[in-house]
Amino acid sequence: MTRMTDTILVRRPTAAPAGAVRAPVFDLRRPIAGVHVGIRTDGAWRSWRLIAHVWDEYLRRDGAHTNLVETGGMVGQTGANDRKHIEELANSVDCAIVGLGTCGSCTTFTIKDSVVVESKEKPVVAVVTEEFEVHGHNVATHLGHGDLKILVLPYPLEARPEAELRAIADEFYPRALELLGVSE
Amino acid sequence: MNLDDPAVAAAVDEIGRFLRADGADLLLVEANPKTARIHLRLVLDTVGCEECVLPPAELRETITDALQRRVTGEFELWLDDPRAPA
Amino acid sequence: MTLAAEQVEVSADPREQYERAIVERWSDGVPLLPATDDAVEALLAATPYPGDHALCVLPPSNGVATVELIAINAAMAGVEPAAFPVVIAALEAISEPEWNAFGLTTTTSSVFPMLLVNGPCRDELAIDYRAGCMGGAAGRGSMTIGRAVSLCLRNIGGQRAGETTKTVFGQPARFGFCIGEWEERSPWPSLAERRGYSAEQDVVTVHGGKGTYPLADIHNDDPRDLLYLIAKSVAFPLSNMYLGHAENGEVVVAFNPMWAERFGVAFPDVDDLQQYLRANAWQPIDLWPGPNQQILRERGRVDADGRVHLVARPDQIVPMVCGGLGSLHAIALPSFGESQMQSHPVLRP
Repeated sequence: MTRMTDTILVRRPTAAPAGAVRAPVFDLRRPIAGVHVGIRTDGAWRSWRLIAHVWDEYLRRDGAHTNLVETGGMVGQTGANDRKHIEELANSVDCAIVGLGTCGSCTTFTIKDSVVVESKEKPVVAVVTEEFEVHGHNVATHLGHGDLKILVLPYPLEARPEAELRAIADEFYPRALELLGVSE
Repeated sequence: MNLDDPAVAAAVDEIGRFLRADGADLLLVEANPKTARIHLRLVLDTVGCEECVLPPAELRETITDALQRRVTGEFELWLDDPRAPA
Repeated sequence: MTLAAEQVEVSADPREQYERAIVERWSDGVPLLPATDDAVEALLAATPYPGDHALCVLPPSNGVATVELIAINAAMAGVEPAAFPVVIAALEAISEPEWNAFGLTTTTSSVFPMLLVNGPCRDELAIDYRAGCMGGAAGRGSMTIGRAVSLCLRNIGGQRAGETTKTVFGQPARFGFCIGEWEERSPWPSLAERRGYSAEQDVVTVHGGKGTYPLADIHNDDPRDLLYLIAKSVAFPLSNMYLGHAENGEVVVAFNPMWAERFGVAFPDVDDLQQYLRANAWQPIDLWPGPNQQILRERGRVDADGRVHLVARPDQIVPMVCGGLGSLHAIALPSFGESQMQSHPVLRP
């Protein structure tokens, strides 16, 4: 049997992933009262819409001002409108909670929209479900925001009954404030 | 696919020789490799006994068989047979 | 020509090269050709772009796709120099923002770029558009161009199932999908012509397709009946196109040439054909269970007659002619939805 022992030279086909640069993250460092908080929901996920509305209620109870924006488009006029609304939200608030990443592309766009806020040097929390936590961190890293704060909710979320979703909203509200850097 | 004229012409000639014995003939109108269409015309102008020529369905089958033996790949056969309904 | 990519010493034995490619994670599981300098330089000579030109950034890892890196992956796929500009054009189309590579390379969906080629290069490069064009015809152009794009997404964009992309199933097209349109058998202007290009131009249109959805009928020859059934078939209830906005996305419907001829007689104007398809591509809201109905209503997808249309506009149903002469079949390429197909001309030196 003939064995080939010669070698040849080939070129490596891979590119380095982006993410060497990690953008800074920001904290509120003050009580939530008086703070303008933006909340981004997604028309695809009723579960997140419910949780977001509970948090909206709590934030206003705690003295914050809130602004809710719902997205759902990625391309075309609907996508362009959504990105414009996110830009406007990011400009108008002191901090934001952006969700929901509970599928591949919606996680990608949750992170993308969170980065818009963080790029304006404002505190932001991206909300994803457990199955998409690693994916969320990967996308954030590749966008140069590897330290983006990510709040992880249980998975699956969408088909849970309302009572369970309200319990999850209650449980994770303090964590959302903590990640925003709210202080007493 | 080799929908080239020599291959098609050879098939047409094979069937043509057979038809000419009864006074009919088979003409190649076009073999188009871009559309994969082979267009043939049965000529009965000088036929003595029309009933002696293979019936339309059988003739079509015989022509298709002759073409398939020489042409690789798919083709669509258009056969103008004056006896067949339009 | 000076190449910039790192040189790696590998065994000259093809089997050992295969093993090494798997270890290095360059591989899609199928043997690759070695990207030697000769092979890469031959490809670079076939494009007007210099090797260090950064053509685009490919998600999900946002790796920079220089023309040299693309050539390396194309060499591995076996792309011949004359076909390399088609690979470049496909990646240019994929990186258009409205194609939404950012979303499509990370989604749980099976979506992957499907390359649809028009122009004289189809025959020159053996891009399949006749029998077996979506699998089995084995034209060098179809198999290698599609694969080169897939390798670029893997090796430059870092797209790996289960790691950086959440695709649940993937699909066979992830090996590479590149077909042509059988323009000479189409009763209408070609896909590229309808998108503003001339018949003499080589054009790649990239569609974010979720797979091949087969349709068949052996009973009915009436063109309007067949098209009605096709419309109803592509409007299947779990289509991605019901999950987002009706205005976004396209569904490609590939007609075999025999059906196309029949459809062309009934609808000589392709706009009328698309209108007819769009008008019939709907399902009654009652088809869906309650929770789904609620979402569809909230998204404004239900019209006054209780119909949920697949798409907002006729041009979102995109006919093309390809396939063999056996008739009886059509294939739909359902869309991811939140993606608009993009076309790019093939540029040569």
